Amino acid sequence: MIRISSQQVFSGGVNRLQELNASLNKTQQQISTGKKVNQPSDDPVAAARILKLDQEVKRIETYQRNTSLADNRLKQEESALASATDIIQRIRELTVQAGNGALSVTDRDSIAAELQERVDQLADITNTQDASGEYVFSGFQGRQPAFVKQPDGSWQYNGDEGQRVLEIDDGVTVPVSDPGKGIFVDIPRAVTVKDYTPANPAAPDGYISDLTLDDAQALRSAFAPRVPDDMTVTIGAAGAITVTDPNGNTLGTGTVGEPFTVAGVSLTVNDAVAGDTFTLGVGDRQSMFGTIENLISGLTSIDKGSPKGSAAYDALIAESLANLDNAQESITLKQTELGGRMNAVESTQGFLEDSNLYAKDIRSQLQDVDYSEAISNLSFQSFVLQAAQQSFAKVSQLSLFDRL
Amino acid sequence: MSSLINIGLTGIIGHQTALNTTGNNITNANTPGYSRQEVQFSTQPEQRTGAGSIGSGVNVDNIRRLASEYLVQQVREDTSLSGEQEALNTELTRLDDLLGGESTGLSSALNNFFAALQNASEDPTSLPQRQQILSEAQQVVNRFQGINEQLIQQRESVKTQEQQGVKDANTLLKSIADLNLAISESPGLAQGKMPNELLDQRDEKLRQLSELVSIRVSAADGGQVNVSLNNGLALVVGNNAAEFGTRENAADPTQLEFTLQSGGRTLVVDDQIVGGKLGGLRRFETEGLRSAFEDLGNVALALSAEINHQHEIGMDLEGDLGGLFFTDINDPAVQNSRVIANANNQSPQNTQLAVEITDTGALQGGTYTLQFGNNGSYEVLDGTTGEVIKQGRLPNDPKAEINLPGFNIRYESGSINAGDKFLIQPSRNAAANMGLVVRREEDLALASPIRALTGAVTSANPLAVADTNKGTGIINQGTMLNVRNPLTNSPLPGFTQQQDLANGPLQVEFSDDGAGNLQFSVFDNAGTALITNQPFTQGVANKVFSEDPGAGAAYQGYQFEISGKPEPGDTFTIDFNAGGVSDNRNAQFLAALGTANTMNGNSQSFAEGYAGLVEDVGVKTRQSQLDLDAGKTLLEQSTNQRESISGVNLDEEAGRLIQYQAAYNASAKVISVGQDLFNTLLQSFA
Repeated sequence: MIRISSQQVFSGGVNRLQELNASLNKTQQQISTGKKVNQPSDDPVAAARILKLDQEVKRIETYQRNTSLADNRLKQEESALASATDIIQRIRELTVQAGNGALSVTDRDSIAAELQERVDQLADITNTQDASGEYVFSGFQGRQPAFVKQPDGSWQYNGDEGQRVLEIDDGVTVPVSDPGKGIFVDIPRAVTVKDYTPANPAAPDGYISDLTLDDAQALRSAFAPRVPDDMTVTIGAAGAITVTDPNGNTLGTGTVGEPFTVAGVSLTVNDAVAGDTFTLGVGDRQSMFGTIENLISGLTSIDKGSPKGSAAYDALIAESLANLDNAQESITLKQTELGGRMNAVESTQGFLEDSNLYAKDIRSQLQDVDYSEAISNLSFQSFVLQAAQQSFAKVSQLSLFDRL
Repeated sequence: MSSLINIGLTGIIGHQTALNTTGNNITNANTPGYSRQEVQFSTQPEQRTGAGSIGSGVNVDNIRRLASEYLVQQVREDTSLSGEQEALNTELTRLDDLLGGESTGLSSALNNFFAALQNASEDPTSLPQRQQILSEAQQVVNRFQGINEQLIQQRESVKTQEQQGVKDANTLLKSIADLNLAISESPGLAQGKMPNELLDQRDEKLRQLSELVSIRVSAADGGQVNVSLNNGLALVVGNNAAEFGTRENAADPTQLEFTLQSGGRTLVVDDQIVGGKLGGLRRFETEGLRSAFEDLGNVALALSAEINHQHEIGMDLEGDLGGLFFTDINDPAVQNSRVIANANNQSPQNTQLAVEITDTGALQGGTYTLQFGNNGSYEVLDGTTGEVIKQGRLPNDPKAEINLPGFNIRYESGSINAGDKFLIQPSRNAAANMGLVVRREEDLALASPIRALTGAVTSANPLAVADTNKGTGIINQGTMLNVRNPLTNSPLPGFTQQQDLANGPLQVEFSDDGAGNLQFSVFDNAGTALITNQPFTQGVANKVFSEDPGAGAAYQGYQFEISGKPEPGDTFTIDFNAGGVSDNRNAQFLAALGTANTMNGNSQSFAEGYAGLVEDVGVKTRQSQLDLDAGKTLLEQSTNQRESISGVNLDEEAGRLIQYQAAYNASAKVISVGQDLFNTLLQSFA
């Protein structure tokens, strides 16, 4: 039989009560904080993972914020582009109207006046600003308007080629801006007579009519492996026409006054004399504003009185229509791209929501207390503590001295 | 009859002693270290008569102290163990709470900082967003410094506890020596009558001493004990006590070293202090605190170095290069502060060494000892394991370097003597030295200083670029690598001045090599070719420049890629990103550092590096909690065993009280019977 000292009875009892109090306190802390890992030492591995998951959740939330901001920016850009399309559509209608042969000079002037209005409207749209006042189509030059009116009244691109990109998930980025250069400036230009050098400068009577690109593939093959470039039309003796590329290679021949086709481009050279040269602009680019400004200046300045003037006027209308279509296509292309980006943002948004839920779920599993378990622990522990207290009180009261 | 009275008298006296002893036991039931006593009775020498011998009463031989030297020793050992665990656990728990706390830790500050960068990259011109970065960055700095300050406070508190512990130990050593003397001089010792109270007192002092440090106790002549440290260094011999002391550690002035002074000699006993509170505190210093300083410093170094580098190659809102974001980790004064000369080095002690951090990704943390031998030969030892990790000879010429993973030790000036030692601590003070250099929102470099334009420059105005390119070649906007050549640390040709690309704008010109293949050359603004006739491959992104800092003019500190189909004659212009306020490229790169693996051999992000520290301390704290529980249980068991022999049980004493009282009463009755007998006899004569 082991001998027990009175001190042992007390200190043992008190120690047990201490231990029970400590574990009860721990459970109570878990319940009141809702966490089972309150100090890293409670579960060091889980604690490190919780820190990692905290970072993960914070990062996902930042990405979620970025996706919604990216979405806003893309929507703003899209709506600007949609308005631009509407205006170009109206300009196209006006151009068609201007093509009506019965129009008087006054009619043309009034069309030109409306066109001028529309150009300024278009400029406003291309100079759209975001919430913090940055011009959205200026590339990195957000403090500069994308297009600036020059002293001669033309609109000049003033931005650069920078594109702002936003990270919307680890390693997933989405462009949230587009420099105006790609959308409004670098627009393929219809084949046009760029230059005319008459053999006799006193009588520059030659002109080209019915200039159209019929077969883009033929044009490309004519210049392969290089890209299509300017063509030089030289009039020789007896109205013989030679068409050459910039390197002097002959692309085709024809006769003055008769329609002919060279490298997919059909044209008729009229009233030209030997020694006249024309330069056909092929593969050039013209800004949307340039197209409209050309149109306006043509509407107000071309005299339709002569066959040459009439041909120039027809060419202007035809080219302008082609160029406007190109401008519209360029914008539509960008709109399609924006749609793709918005889809990507949307699907990333969904993915981020899932990841966020998932990360929070894991974190909760690691960190959060299971209330039913904790409360049942708590009631069991308090039951044990109560029993220990009662038994301690009972035992400590036992003393032989009380009987003496 | 008189003998009967005498017999009764011995019983009365004997049981009075027994009752006194029991009373003493009862009153000392709660005295720490008290061992219960009991009276040992024996019979008085008998009287021989013709009829045989008649007893003459009872005698009190001895008052015995019930104690087992073995159990007392066991209690001392378990006390040392649990004292060590308790000190270690208390300190580790404090550290654990500090590092893991949501508001006191580093994690949320880091997360918020990188979130602010990410947010600002959406709208780089917004000053409020920039302000947010600055305040979150300040918060990061505050957390680093705050945690570091807490660690320093804990280090100082540990030192104070060590100094107090040493004082307590000295008092105890003195009392033990005094008690030794008192015991050896106590009367009756020669007759085997032990001074029970003095023995109890000495055992209790020894137990208190073992709370502070693990000791060995051996019995000596005259009831004395000798006390020594675990390795045998004497603390108390007879009535002489040695004296513990503390002083600044010669190798590391931030720490204390323990000394032992005895007989006029002073020894350093750092390694002999094991067990007990002092041993626990020492373990905490080496196992917990030191690595916490270093790991925290490592995160601070990596964060500063990475963010600084990325910020330096960026461009701020006003078109200037970014410069420093946090304080420079290789500031000359800081480099010198990473080396601490041992106080015992030979005079003139004028050696100047510096530690330069070269690659935070390769840095492993930890402290090192550099010790010199003859003729500049040296050894670098790992501070924790003591292993030699590098040895060689350092030429006696300034700028001579010892290269170690992630850092260099550089000799600057002064004389090096054989036997000189230096403490090398690359990351110890990094968290304390951290500071925010960027102060204005506008100075945050969220843009890149370079950009590209399609077409050729037509005038000095950088924006006047005529795009006459015929091909479909596309140039990207470029990526910055460096503004200084990493090999020479001097500015690259483009970045010798602010607000402009000094040798720009650069032109990338395409031509035909004569065989129908595309090639390109790069010219600076003076028309000098930086790259000549580099072949161009269609269908892939062609890198324009070299990324090798040793490649001469082909290395410009940035990279551009051209893809698509350029035509001969096409030109691209590379220029300073003047006015590029809407550019967020650098902000993106800065934000991406939050998850980039840049630490510990490029395997961990900053957050993971910090989580590693938290986990490490958590594991140690948990382990020490388990050790403490085990130690406490052991101590309780051995205490119970000792109590079982030496402790006072009041019920038992009550029983003895009744027992001795009854015997006392009976002895008195014997006298009374003797008196009656005497009276009867007297009356019969009357």
